[in-house]
Amino acid sequence: MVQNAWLIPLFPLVAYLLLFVLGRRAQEGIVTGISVLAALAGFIVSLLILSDVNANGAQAPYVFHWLTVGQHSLSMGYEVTPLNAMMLTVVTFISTLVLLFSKGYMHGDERYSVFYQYLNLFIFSMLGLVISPNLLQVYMFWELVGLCSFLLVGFWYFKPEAAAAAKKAFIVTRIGDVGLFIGIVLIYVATGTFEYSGVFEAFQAKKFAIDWITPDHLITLIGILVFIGAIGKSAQFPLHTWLPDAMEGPTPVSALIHAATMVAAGVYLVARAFPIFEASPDTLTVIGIIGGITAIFAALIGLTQNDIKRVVAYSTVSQLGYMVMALGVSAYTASTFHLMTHAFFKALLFLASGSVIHAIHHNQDLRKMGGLWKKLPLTGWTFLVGALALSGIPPFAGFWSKDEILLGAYNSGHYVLFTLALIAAFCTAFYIFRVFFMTFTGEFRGEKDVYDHAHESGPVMAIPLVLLSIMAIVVGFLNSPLMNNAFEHFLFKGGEEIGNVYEANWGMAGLATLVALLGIGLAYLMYKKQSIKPENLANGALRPLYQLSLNKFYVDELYHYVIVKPVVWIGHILNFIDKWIVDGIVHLFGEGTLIGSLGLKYSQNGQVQTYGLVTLVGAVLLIGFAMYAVGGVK
Amino acid sequence: MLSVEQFLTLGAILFCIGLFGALTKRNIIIVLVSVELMLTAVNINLLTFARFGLTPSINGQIFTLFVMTIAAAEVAVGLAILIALYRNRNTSDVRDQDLMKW
Amino acid sequence: MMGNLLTLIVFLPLLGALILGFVPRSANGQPKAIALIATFLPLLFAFILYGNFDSAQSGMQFSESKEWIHIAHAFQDKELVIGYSLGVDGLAMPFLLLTALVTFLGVLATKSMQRAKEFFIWYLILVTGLYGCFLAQDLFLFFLFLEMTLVPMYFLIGIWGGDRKGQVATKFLIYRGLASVGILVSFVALAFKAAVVTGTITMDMTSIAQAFAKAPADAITAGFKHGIFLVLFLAILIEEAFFPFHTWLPDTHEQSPSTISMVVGGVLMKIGAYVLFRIGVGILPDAVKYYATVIAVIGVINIVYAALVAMVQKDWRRLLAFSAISHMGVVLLGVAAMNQEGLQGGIFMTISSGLLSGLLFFLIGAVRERTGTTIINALGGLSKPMPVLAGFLLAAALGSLGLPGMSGFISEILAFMGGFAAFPGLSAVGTLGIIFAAVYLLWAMQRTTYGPTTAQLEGLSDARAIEYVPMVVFVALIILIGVYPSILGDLVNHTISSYVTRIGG
Repeated sequence: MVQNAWLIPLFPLVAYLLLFVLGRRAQEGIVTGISVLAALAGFIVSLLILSDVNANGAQAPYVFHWLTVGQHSLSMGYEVTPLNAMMLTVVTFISTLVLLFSKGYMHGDERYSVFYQYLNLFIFSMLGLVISPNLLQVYMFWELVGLCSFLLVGFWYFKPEAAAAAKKAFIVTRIGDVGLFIGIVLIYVATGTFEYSGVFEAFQAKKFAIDWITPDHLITLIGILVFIGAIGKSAQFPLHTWLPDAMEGPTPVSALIHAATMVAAGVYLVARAFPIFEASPDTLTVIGIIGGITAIFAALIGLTQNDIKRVVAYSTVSQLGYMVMALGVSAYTASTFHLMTHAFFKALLFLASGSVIHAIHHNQDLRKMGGLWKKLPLTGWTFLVGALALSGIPPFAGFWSKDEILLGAYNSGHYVLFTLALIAAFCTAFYIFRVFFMTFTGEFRGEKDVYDHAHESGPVMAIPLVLLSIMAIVVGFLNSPLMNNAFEHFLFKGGEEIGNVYEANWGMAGLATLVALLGIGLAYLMYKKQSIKPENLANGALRPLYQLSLNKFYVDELYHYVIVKPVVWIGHILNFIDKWIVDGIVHLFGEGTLIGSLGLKYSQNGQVQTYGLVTLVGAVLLIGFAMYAVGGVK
Repeated sequence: MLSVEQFLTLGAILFCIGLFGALTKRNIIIVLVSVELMLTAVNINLLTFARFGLTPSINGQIFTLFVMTIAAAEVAVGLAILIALYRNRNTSDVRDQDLMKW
Repeated sequence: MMGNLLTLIVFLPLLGALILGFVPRSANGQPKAIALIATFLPLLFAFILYGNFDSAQSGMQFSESKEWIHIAHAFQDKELVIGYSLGVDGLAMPFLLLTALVTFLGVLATKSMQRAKEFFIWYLILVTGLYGCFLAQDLFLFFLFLEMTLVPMYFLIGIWGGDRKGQVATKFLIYRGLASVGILVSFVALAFKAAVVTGTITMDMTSIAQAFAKAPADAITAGFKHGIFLVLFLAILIEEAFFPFHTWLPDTHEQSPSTISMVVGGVLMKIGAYVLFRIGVGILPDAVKYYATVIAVIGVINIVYAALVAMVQKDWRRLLAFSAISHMGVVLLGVAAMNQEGLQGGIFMTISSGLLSGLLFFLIGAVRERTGTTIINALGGLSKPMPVLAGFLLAAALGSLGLPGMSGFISEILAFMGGFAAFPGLSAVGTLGIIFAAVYLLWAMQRTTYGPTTAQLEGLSDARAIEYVPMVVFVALIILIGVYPSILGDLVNHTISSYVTRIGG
């Protein structure tokens, strides 16, 4: 079955091409039908592959020749390992549901078909990225998912904010991509190959074709460069700023791309290429620190945001920080497991938010919501499931995976990281329940008219919510002691174990749950009971901190004034130099010639006798010189 | 018997007079006459060398005839231009004939 | 059957120009039809050649050679032989195809205009010159064809150009004339020095290359090679519009009619790169290696400088000109690396940049025809009235900023793979260009097609059927090279290998 893995990305590609041919006037039903069927087919094949891998373990990649460069031959192909079999299944599953959900959400949009084209292209690229057997191919699909993200964030192109967000998403991730670009090019120069297996071998042997740096430093350098790519794509600090802005895109896009799949690609890459990072303790430390900072940083910002999608977006950044941190402390299993559980419950949260937004006429401001539980019970329940899973309340999915990460951080001896993660867990529980209470309880704070018309939208939107809720509840058990850590055994099937694995620690689990409950309790007190007035805190003693969080620690402003403005100014200065100095010198020659001849022309006075005199003097001088030179004149 | 220096001196004096006239006189007719003087000086030189040169031959005399012929033609053309100019500009002063200046 | 195809390719456009001379001035549409035929036939022949091309061979194929000028005692009792010789190898083939495509599509894209007959006469003469440059196997012949491109360009810009056409046409002429001087000087020096070894003064590229490769070190000194290369390189910098000799290019693009912009960006400015590969790397590899650091530094300066300047341009055409300069900087970096990856990347980038420039200038021409402007800030929201053109503009911008799956990416990564092996630090600076390219291209693209549509831009027409041809062909090729680069890589691989083995690197 594994040899048929190429089918999985092929389905959405075919769907994309079909929709492209059908054009933008195609009927909504047909468009959705084709797309969902393709994704579903992909999901079924993924399941078959998953069971095959579960039985037989990882297999050698299937490759074909792509380009000859001198003695080197670059190849493309596909491979299936337990890790990417898991990813394939998750991606196709969530894609199917999101495609279905979009039928309700995007209904009536004049570019409905285009939206599905882009989504299919994205799913193709994402699946291609996952099954790539070499870094070059990964990079190619890596950029393609970035492109799809760009297209989908800017889908409502006529909105200037959407266009700006799309551009920002592409450029900020591209800064990271350049790191990855340099990283893989250096890998090629050092090892002569892009293939994972070849690269890993070379990294183990520490034999490189680069002599301007010691092998150990080279390993660290390459590791950090590749990780910079992951920083960009997975929205880690300091390149996290694009993800919240990317919420300008339609909500299904946020659910699929900016929660479940593309943003996880960075984590996936680090996990897939883990031997590269593992070879250098320094790299791992950097990864752990970046992850830890991101987790707490984003969680702190999430506390005060007023846009429902932005809160969820910051929670995504924070959770990605968790995964990255887990990799940094070598908690490999925990990280990949959290990657999987997070995909489900975060997609769920986004789709539930989408359902809310759709019901109240595309309003995303929490301050204009409230009391929607009566109107949207199903959405309310599913959102609650997602929120509990995110907070890490047992037995929901997030509990099991987050617990493992905390455990990994603690056991690795990085107590600072552990503390940060614990505080982040508290914040997470607080802000997601803040959203929950502000949305579903209390009085509706928007226009009454909107509230009266709010209602659940049909089964196409309900089914995905329900299915994802079920997953968000059960999927955590996969790697629990209750199921004998099945996920972990699956992950290392047919290969050696990577990273550290720890015995479950019920004390840690209790602590994590307690912290989460505290966060939920505080949110309850502040936003349900209103016994602590949030406004008093925001305007009182905590005002500076509140402002700091509300304004996202002014990172955007900082970048604007420290990077964007100076670069544009340099551009202007260089343009000035180009125009007036470089071209100016050229024009100086031209003008100089003109001015010179302007002066010289007055010597042509038209007087034949003057000319004659000049000729005479010239002739005499010449003859004199000739005679002097020959020696006739003594 | 006159020496070669005497002939050449005569030629040089004639040439200088002609040159002086061509460069300084204001009247175009005088200028033309001066040019003729210079040609005559050249002719004298040609004849001198045809007789006293390193390889005396008839070439110099032939060339003198050429020069005289061409000088005649030139004077004809020159005078024609002069008349045309005089008709147009009503002057025969060289200094006024500067149509070709910048 | 292949016997005279190259001559046909080169001279059919000229024949077309000749025929056009007899067409009455008042004839409507006929000039374009004739020009179409006169550029389509070479395109057809070029593809026939491509079909019969044996890419496993590194030498010249389909060669035609006749002795043209022969002077028995030209200089110091050596005879001078100048040949009319044409040929294609793996290096020339992609350039031949590029020329064939861009020049044909250029005619197709030409809108009706004043004095169409004269326009196409000059255009076809230019096309002959371009073909000749890439096919000539004799330095003298090459130079002749190079000069042949100059005069038509002067008139094409000077008559049909924008509001500063006179000034820019002169600028173009003087700049490229200067470049010609450098090229001529180095060619003559090459020929006479090779004569020391071979005994006859020949202008044939292959024999000169062999003479230089075999010559003992005392016959042709390293200093001499370095000297010639410097002169040649200076000429290439001008020819190829590299900083600080680049200012003619933005002006030319800004002032030319869009057809001419296509041809300049797509083919004409690639001649310099071709000379660098053919003469620089092919005949003077030691000198290239000697000056590698200088070349790499100039390359990186161009990448970053042009990208930064492009960022603040107000006019689409100037922006694209600087973008092309930035891309060609990557070529220099690849050449400086002097390894298989770098050289291959350099050729890829040259071809890719040609295709992308052709496409982009076509699209901007189409936008200009409809909106009457190419000032970026005057446009906006074009996705609404013309979704197809906007879509292609997006595709072209993405290809240009190096999106994988399109030709720009594979070129970039190959060049950098070579660059990082030889100049890691410089190459790292050069990667800034990748980021900047995304910034300026996305900004300009979004400013043009995204956002609200202003009232006067609404109701404009989308692409016409005939306009699909260039767009689809260009995009198809760009994607083809991006997805399956072997189609280009196999062509050039052997030629490059033969270069690389010569320098022993």
